[in-house]
Amino acid sequence: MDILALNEHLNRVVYGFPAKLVYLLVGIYLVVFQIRWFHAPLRMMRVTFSETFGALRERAYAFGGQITPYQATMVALSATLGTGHLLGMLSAVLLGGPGAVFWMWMGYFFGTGTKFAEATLAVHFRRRFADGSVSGGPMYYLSRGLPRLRFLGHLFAFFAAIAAFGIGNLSQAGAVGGALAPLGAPPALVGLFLALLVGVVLGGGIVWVARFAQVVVPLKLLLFLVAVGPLLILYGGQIPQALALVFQAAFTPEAALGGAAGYSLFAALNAGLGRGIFANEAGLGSAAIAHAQAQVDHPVRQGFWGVAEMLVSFLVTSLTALAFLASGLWRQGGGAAEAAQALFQSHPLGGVVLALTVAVFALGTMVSWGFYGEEAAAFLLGEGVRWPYRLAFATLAFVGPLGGLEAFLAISDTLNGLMALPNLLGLVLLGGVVGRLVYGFFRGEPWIPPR
Amino acid sequence: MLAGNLAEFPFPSLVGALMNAGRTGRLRITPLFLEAEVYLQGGQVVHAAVRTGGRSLEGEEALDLLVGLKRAPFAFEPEVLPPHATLLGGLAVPARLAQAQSAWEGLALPPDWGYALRLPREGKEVELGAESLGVLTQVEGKRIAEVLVAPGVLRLARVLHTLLQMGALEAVPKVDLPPTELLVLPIYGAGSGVAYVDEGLYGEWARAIRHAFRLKLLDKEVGIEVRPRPQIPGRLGLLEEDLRRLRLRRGDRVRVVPEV
Repeated sequence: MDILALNEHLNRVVYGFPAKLVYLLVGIYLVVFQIRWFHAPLRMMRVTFSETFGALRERAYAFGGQITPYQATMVALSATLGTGHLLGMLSAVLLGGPGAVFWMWMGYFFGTGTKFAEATLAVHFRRRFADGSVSGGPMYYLSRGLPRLRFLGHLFAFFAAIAAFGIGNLSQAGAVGGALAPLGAPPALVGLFLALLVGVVLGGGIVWVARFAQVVVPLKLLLFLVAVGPLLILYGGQIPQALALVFQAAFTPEAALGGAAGYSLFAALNAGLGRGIFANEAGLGSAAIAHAQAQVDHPVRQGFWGVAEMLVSFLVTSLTALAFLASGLWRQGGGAAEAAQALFQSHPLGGVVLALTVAVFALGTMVSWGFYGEEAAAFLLGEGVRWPYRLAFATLAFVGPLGGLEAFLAISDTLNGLMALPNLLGLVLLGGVVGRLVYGFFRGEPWIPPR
Repeated sequence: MLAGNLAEFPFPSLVGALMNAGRTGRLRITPLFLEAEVYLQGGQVVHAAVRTGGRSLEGEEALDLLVGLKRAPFAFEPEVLPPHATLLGGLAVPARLAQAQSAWEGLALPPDWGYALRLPREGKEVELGAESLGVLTQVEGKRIAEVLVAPGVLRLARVLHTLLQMGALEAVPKVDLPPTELLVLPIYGAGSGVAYVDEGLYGEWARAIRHAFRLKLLDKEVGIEVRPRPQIPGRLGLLEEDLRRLRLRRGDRVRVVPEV
């Protein structure tokens, strides 16, 4: 078996339906038994909003340290809000039908627990350096929280450092190049711009990455609203039916849509859960690297920002799906790219707005993933690897829009999926720590960092 | 130059030693909020003066006051001559010192005369004589040193002692710290009536005050117990119950000042 065949097999395993069920079960375990969301759901919701959207006006105030909890969330959101929220969402509806949206929501709901646990553990087990800077993420909580299974942290860092070059760089740079090509932007020029931008931002460390994210995430949301808002208005009359269809097709798609449509419950589940898991990166552990940077008095406070990250991601995917369902274009089938073109034909700004939105979504993802990869590489190989990693990342950003390196992209995609393996195992084993931290937080106890 | 602190070398013994050594010069005693000088010439105490703010005492009254000082830095500068004489010297000075010492021994005033006097927060009914009442009406908000620098030092000290013992007055450090602006941070948990500030800020206040203190929320005119908490610089942690009671929410700016 050659390496590409092996990779294909592995890829099917890590992104397959059983793997998605594992993600879901880990989320259910954390939400129900450790975070105990259902113990006082209304209070948890109130506290979540108070700690996140309610704290927006103090976004510029840290608890000391380099970046604020809000900025850390912006870095995470910058990576999470990628093209998967647009084209990926359309693809999920095309594959699974309207019922996929319901299962995506399920994935989001329980994934929220996973993201909460990741952000909480990332802050709890992060490492603080003498200059006041910090590093954290799954590689730290796995190696510090599970000393007998330290290799899990190294395994995660290895997967993340390489996956960042592919899924976080080449794919994204390719998406930017692809989106801007119809507007007449030469791929080499786009590549050069991306290489310079990524090099400069990553060169400034977490502070510059955070400042960039603070600008790019609101820009992403603004562009998204400009792109999807008019569609929602245009198809506003069909939205109630689209919503009804989501619930009807969730359990009995054949009955709701007619057997001819070819949608099955399994297809809805598979496509929906896939979006509900991979679009928001809950379980992959990547966003935890950003959340670890936040200076907070208690890790659970950052956990709530993880929930906010999920809420924003949820809104973007859901609104995209609703606009698509309300348009009725999903019935025509075909690929996501063609469906997107068809959807945006009725937009007053045409395909330009889609191109710009995709480009900005991909650009933000790229910078944050550069930081994730750098942190993972520094964990594995020491601080000296930071600049070589940044240079390599910038070089690949140049190559991305030009195309090629498909084999490497395929392998990095698998490695991206493999990041979840040590992370999910760690989340289950460290679930008790999350539970204790949540319990202490709601008893007003101060946080005592592990030694 | 001879220097030290009255805590190790009480005033009567110090003056006695200088007299026995037949020294000439100026003994300067400089506790906070007071300035005192005692002049000796050939082993005889010829002048003593105490000043605070606009008030001063000289001669035997000044000596009476200085005997009551339990701790204060002092320095003896030899060969400094007195501006004028207010004491006759001879055996009258040691006798006066001994008399004042025995009077002070029965009194328990706070050792720090920088403390301010105030009526107790939770008052109780007490019966006072005319003399005590007269003093009580004039001392509110003043430092102990300011009250004592007046004619009839020992009488005033006795009255203050009585008022403090009866609980009609209390002596607390005078806190003069500037208000600090903090952002409200919810602390989740049961209970109420406790505010949390960063342990760094708490330590700063504790070092400046050296006495138990509470926190006053200036905009709400409310006093609340304060405790240190790690890693909340720039924040005022308030329990949920207190947030509701004070109509505050996360991120609100409040000006606080510690109060004794």
